[in-house]
Formats: sequence, C-alpha cells, structure tokens
Amino acid sequence: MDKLRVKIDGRTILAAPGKTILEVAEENGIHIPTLCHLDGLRDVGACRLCIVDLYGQLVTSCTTKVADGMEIGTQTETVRAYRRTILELLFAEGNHVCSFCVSNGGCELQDLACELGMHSVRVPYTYRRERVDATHPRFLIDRDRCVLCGRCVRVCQEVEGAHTWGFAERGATVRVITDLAVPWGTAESCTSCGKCVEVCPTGAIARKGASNAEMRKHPDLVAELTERRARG
Amino acid sequence: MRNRLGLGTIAARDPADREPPTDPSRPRSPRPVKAQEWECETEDKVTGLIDVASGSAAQRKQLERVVEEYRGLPGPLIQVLHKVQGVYGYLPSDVLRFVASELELPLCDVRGVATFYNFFRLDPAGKHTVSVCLGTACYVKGGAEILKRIQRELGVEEGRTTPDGLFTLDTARCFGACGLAPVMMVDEEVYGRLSPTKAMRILNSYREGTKPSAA
Ligand code: SF4
Ligand code: SF4
Ligand code: FES
Ligand code: FES
Repeated sequence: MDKLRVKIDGRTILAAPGKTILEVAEENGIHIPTLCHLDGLRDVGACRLCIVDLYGQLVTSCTTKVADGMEIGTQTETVRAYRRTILELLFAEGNHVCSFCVSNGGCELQDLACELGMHSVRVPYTYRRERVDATHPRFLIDRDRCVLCGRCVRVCQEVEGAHTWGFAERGATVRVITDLAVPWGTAESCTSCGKCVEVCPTGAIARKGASNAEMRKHPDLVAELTERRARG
Repeated sequence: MRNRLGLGTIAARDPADREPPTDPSRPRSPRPVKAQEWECETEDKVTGLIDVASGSAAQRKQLERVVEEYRGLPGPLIQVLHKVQGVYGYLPSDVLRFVASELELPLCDVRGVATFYNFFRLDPAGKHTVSVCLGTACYVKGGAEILKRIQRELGVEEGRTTPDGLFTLDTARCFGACGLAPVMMVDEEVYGRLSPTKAMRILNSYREGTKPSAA
C-alpha cells in the first residue's frame, strides 16, 4: 500500500493510510497527551486533550486519520494553551482534591496536570454533588472524580461484553450509570470482573479497602487482552 | 505499551495487590439498599422473567404489542419508548427492563436514551405541572435561580415528580410572555415577574389547595 507523507513537528514521516495521527506520532516516538484513549478500546474523542494543530484547525489526534501532505503540530503554543484550558475545565467540573483521593500518585489526570504544567485552575469550581456508590462488594465509584472519559463504558461493553456501564442524562448532568441507574451492587449484568477498575484513569472507580499505595491500576491489561484474543 | 505505569503484564503484579476472594457465603445480589436513595424506584432483582407490575393487564397487552411490532427492526428503541410512554403516561422502570430484555438491549442504554430526551418521563405526571421558563428573557432575569430554588425546596430534579405526587417539575424555552419575565407556568396558569420566594409562595398555595391569581 502506498505510504502517505505527513509532517509532524517539522519532521517528514511516511505513514500507512488508515492510521490515526496519534498512532503515527507514537510509532515515531512523538508523544501526545491523551486521557480517554486507551490501547485496545475504540476511540471516541471524549476528552479532547489529544488535540493537535493542523495550522488552521485543531483536531483530536486519536480520532483523526492521517492524510497525505498533512502538516501537524503537536506542541504549538495554540494546542498547549487549549490543552491546559481543557484540563482545567475537567478539574473544575469534578471535585478533585488529590490529597484525599485513593488514586493520589497513581492518577492519569494528575499526571496530565503535571505534564501540562497546570499549577492553578483559572475557572471557578462547580462543586457538583454526585453520588458515591459503594454497594458493590469489591469496588466503588465516586462520581465526583469521574471525568466522563467513557473507558469503563467501553471496556465493559467491548471487552467484557457485560454492558453494565452507560451514560445517562446529557449536558452538565451527564454521568455514568450501571444498568437502569441502579446501585452497582444490584446491577444484574455486572460480572464483577474488575476491568472498569483497572481502566478508570482517576480515583472514580476504585477497589474497596485499597490504601492509596495499593491503588495502582493496570489499564494496559486491555491492550494485552485484546492482543491475546486476536492471536486466539 | 504506551501507558504511563508500564507495569507490563498482569502476571508481574504483586500478589498482595490482587483482589480479595469473594466470600461465597454472602450472595452477591440483591443486597438490601434503601430504594429511595436511588434514582430507580424498584430494586432490580436477578430473575429470569421480567415481571411488569406497573399498570393494568390491558396496558401490559399493549406493551407486548408495541414490542412485537418493532422486534427485529433496526434501532427501534426511541420509537418503542415513545409508544410505551403513550401507553403508561410515563416509563416505569420495570417496563424499561421488559423493553430491554425483549429488544435485547443493555439496560444502561435504555436508561441512557430515556434520560437523554426531555420528552421521556420516568415518573407519572403529578397533580400539577410546574414549568419554569429558561428562555433568553427569563434566563437573563433570573429564571435559573427560580428553578434552582424550586428544585431545592421540592427536592426533585427537572422532569421528575415529587414523592407526594403533587408537582412535576419541567422547564421550557419561552412561553411568549417575555414582558413578564421571569415566568413560570403551573398547569395552564402563567405567573410572571417572579422571584424565587414569590415562586415558592405560589407553589405553597397550590399545595394548600388554593390557586393564586395569575400575574
Ligand atoms: S466489574 Fe466488569 S462487568 Fe462489572 S461493571 Fe466493571 S467491567 Fe463491567
Ligand atoms: S468512572 Fe472512570 S473510567 Fe468511567 S467515565 Fe468516569 S473517569 Fe472514565
Ligand atoms: S484521547 Fe483523544 S479525545 Fe481523548
Ligand atoms: S423567555 Fe420566558 S417567556 Fe419568553
């Protein structure tokens, strides 16, 4: 198949058609920050943090395919400013008090804040009040820490096939639910496999009884699983 | 692998980090949960057959007919919910479960659609429908404050009905009474030039059974 010629951060790169900008960048050792993307799951472009500059247009690199002659900037002033604002909005939307969070030190949202140099949030916090659901015997969800990345929804649907997690409502009141928005512990479709725990990038879904030091997640197990399944 | 943790495979995990085994003597589901703390009125039970307790036998027949009509058609959910709401006047959760199981759809998707569209309601309509205007004029004049206050005092979200069945809370975009902004409607009556306190006073007189004269 004919390779496409793209330019990323000034570097000319030959890319296979059908790949996303993010894939091509990663194959070539160029890092783009991401949050909702996870190897092994379908990309949905939920978080917008992986935006790149097409010089005239900003697009999410996890859902945009490379095209011949594309010029891509992954670290321009513009994208950096936008990424930071998006991240601040994510923080302001939830109640992310890291020092009280079970995932403190093992949180992808926190890592992004460090990586993007976010030292303050310039928009007012919304202090929304969300439901904590600790009815499951082994796991719990604190929706205050949910960034609506949809990883739990996708892993439960695409990898586990249980379809327990879904989104309900819309706009500012969107949240993740289990089954008919019943307590997780009574959700009949949940197999208690724990995949949603491993992929949740924040402290929203966590193991019960785990201390902060124990609460380390393994989101890369999804890529591992899907690769092994493909191999049969 | 591109993830930050780079802990490699599952096998590399520290055994101490594994999940504790579940206690087989404790059944996983259903657990006692106070129903009113949750959004869903009926507690889900793991049963083979979906019992529809809501409504009459005639409604149940109609429900089955609706499901039959759409079975196997692509993307039937919205139409089915629309018709089913026509049958019951709202979408009871046991009916949602029935629809999900008959159409072989995940429960969360059914609930997602039923809560995404304003048209669907999850409670039977209350005795009075309170509709707060959030159109441009009313919004600028503080319609959102009025809504917030009513939500807080009645303890219900938009689209829901108070537990005593008295009020259903709704919002609207402009009643064409912008000159009176901010405006709310209770049933067919329009009340204008409201403040949060005034709005509550009006609702309280409805509660006492008197109907205050319109603005
Ligand atoms: S534990 Fe497994 S089945 Fe249950 S909600 Fe999480 S991913 Fe889905
Ligand atoms: S609970 Fe976690 S995985 Fe699920 S949407 Fe929220 S942040 Fe993402
Ligand atoms: S990683 Fe691309 S939009 Fe979230
Ligand atoms: S905006 Fe409320 S009546 Fe027009």
